Amino acid sequence: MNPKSSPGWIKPVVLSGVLVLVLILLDSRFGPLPRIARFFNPFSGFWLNAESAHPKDGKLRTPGLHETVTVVYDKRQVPHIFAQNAHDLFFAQGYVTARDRLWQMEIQSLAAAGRLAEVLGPGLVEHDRFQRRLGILQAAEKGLEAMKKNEESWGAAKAYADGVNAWIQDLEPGDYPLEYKLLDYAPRPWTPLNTVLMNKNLQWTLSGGGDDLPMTNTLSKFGRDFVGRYFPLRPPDVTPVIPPGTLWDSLAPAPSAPAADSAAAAGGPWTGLLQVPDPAGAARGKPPLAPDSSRIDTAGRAPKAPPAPLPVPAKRPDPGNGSNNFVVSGSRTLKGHPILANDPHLDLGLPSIWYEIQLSAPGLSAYGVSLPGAPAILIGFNRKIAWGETNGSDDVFDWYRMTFKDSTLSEYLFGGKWKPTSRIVEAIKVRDGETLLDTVVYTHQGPLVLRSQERPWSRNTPSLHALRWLALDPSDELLTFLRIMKADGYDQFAAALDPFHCPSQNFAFASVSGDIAMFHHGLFPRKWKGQGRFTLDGSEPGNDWSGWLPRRAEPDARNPAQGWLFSANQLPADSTYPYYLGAQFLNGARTKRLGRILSGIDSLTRDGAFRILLDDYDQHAAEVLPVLLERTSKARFSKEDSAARRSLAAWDFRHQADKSAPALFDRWWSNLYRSIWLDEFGGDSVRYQWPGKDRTKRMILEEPDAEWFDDITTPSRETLAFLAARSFREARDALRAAPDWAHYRPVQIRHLARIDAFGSLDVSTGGCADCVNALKATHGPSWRMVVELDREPRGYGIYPGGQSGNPGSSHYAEFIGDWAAGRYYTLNFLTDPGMAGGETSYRLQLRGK
Amino acid sequence: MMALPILFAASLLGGCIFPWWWPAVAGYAVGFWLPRRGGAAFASGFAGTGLAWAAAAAFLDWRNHQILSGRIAMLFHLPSGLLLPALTGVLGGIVGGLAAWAGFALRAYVKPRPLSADTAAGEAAAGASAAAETPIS
Repeated sequence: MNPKSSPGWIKPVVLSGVLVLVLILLDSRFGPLPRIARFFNPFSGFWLNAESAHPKDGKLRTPGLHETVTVVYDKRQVPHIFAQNAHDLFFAQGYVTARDRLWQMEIQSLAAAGRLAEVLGPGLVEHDRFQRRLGILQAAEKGLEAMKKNEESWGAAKAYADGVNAWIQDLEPGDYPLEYKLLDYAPRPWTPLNTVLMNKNLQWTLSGGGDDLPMTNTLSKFGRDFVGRYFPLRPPDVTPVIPPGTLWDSLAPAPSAPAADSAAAAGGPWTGLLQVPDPAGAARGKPPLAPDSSRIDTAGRAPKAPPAPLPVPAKRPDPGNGSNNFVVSGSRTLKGHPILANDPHLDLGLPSIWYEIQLSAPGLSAYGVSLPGAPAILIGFNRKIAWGETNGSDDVFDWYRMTFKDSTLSEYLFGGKWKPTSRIVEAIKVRDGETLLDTVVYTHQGPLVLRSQERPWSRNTPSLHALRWLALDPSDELLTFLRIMKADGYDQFAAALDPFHCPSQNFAFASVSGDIAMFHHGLFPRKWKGQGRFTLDGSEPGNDWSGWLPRRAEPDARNPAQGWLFSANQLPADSTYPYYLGAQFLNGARTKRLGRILSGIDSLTRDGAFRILLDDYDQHAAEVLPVLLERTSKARFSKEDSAARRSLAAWDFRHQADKSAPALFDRWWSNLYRSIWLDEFGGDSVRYQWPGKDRTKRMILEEPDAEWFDDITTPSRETLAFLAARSFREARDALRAAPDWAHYRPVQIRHLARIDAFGSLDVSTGGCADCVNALKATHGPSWRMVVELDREPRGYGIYPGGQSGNPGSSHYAEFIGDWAAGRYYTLNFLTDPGMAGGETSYRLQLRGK
Repeated sequence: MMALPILFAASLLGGCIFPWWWPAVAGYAVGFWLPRRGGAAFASGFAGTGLAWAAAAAFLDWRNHQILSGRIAMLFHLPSGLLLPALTGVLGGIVGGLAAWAGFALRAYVKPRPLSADTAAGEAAAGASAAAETPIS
């Protein structure tokens, strides 16, 4: 531009305009990127989350506290709270937990509620809709009402919320946890409803899902004989949680199945599943609306072809969710006092699902791990007792095939009559968008998760099925943990379990007075044998859950003669137990291994207990590999393949990080398993329940001529030996570089929002799905704890994470290296705030006024 | 040249109180009052705010033992966290530099100043009586 021809005001106006434009651009969001200047500037952006490595003592004013609270942080950033009363204790727990884990708490409760779109935008609407259709938000509100009836838990939840909010109130945007800055939103006030939602999250993880749908598909395709044979309710070689021979109270007999479903009870023929009583009014009006799988022709004859397979939700909790716990009585330990150990297996994430804490107030002093977002300690010990849980794995999640009068879904068939549905309109708020309204239809069984042919779950969720799920009933599990923390022995502990309904757990217990016990406890619907194993006819009243088992009907054991008790998510009781609790109990190999180790113990030490939780012996491989090697002894292999086969023969069945044999075995087994069943079950277009690993292993060992080894897609007849040799060659081809176990199965501890930079994605450690150390790629021992019940309990523990939820803190992923190396930390149980001595990092004094 | 240190101090101190775009205001004012050339205005604005942002970031990074900067660098696919204080400085520099330049341009239009004196006294004098001065661009 020629300066002489342009007026003088052009330049300042253009430059000022450019400046404003640049400011606006720097303050705008582009796709997933944060607002760049807000995020990068060193006065309120991410740099403020670069926490000082050397925190100092502090005195903080926290209105709402009744008295002064002292929090001693030890060198691992574990807070030890000393309060003068219960209110202040839970207030302070909320406060310190929010200080370390605010974003995690909030995002997890929003996720459970189906409120993610509200903060993260339209991309999360379908997630939210699914949560609302499951009925979780409604259930949380009912749970809140139940909690309000118990002053103990309601008081704790309110105080906890006040503590969280006291922390939030003092935050400037520059103080927000990093993820808020990255995702560009602000923390909301915390309410007791959020705490209930955290419990719903856990209930979903541990009791949601189930395999009713793929089991029904398998039953439809293969019939009752196949299901009875390949999906045994009672695998022959699994030790139950409660030792065999335990006597049960004589109680009312278990209910029996209604006629229509009696066949299903025994793993019946698929036609038995499909009988829909002829609806009285159906013939007059439109044909009733029912799932494809339960339509019958007008003459009431069973369909000629098997029904269309049911789609299976893609979003199911990991079916391998499991855990170990064991207690050994003083008669079998070196020092003569009981030892308790527990390692809950869960999705490994950062920030960790667990937050380590000590809670002390008059009448209560406990140490262990808490769930960020909820008061109390879930797994831990006090001065008298120690406790730990594994998932009970009972079936409290059932689908009912519904028949509706017409497409308005306003009436459904039940007991030969039309019954009205109810409706709840769910409002899903969307960031930068309009609020969506979604109507959820409920039958008396529960919510209709998916209506006819609805997207986006039309492939993955059954349409026109009502969900009966125990977690949708009101309950107050928090009360149990508040009472356990104060329990001084067996009786108080046993009584504390009463309010705990869902998800059922195996509660292991040990006390300084020498008791050991195991409770398979939850609220158990009275079911006929097999009820809810497959989808149920929702019009048949006999298919409803008919009341509950009384507490004394639950399987439990105290101080058994054998001197030890354990659980690994296996079936709870032997065949003399009269009630049906479900069919999804897990993992024969892990159960067998842990049972064998414990039965051989006569003088357990602390270090011995440490090693048991780290045991990387693969019982499954130990049983099946020798047979596979034998079956392939005559096969023709290349020189290299033969050498690899010999190296497997020399393997000790331990999944150690630096060995390559476990990788080769793992690939060989998964190839073989797939080649046995893929031809019968087809690809992934329909999800069937395939016979499990244990059952397939038993078939290889005991039924080597089973027809299932033949590949039905070829004219020739394949044998086990042929499949074994072929799958071995394929495994070798896939693993030419002979990776060691840690490279083959790197452990990934992912950030909750799947932000790779905030995860630990390449952790090298041993363990395997069937090992006691049940470590899979993203799932495994989320907290290893061992407690010696000496005069004063001594605890040891570790989890793969760190106390801080801030990726900018040295305490964020601090424990992962030690966890991977199999180390444990001494848990510093302090009797008074001055006791920590050299372990103290810093102290906070929280003052109400 | 006083523009640089003044803007450096203003960016640091004001940053703790005002929103992130505060250096745009400070830079505009400093650019209006102090420099004599557009290039100099931009350079001192860029350096003043840029160094302030970089220094603050570098201090926090050092105190944190580079834990966070390493993760943020991974997040943005940068080779090293050590680049981040510099990048932060460049970002602040763009804001401060552009603002000072725009401020100077406005000054040059409404109240032009002479090019002669290059001393503090001269600047003060120029600031006090600008009526007779000629525009420079």
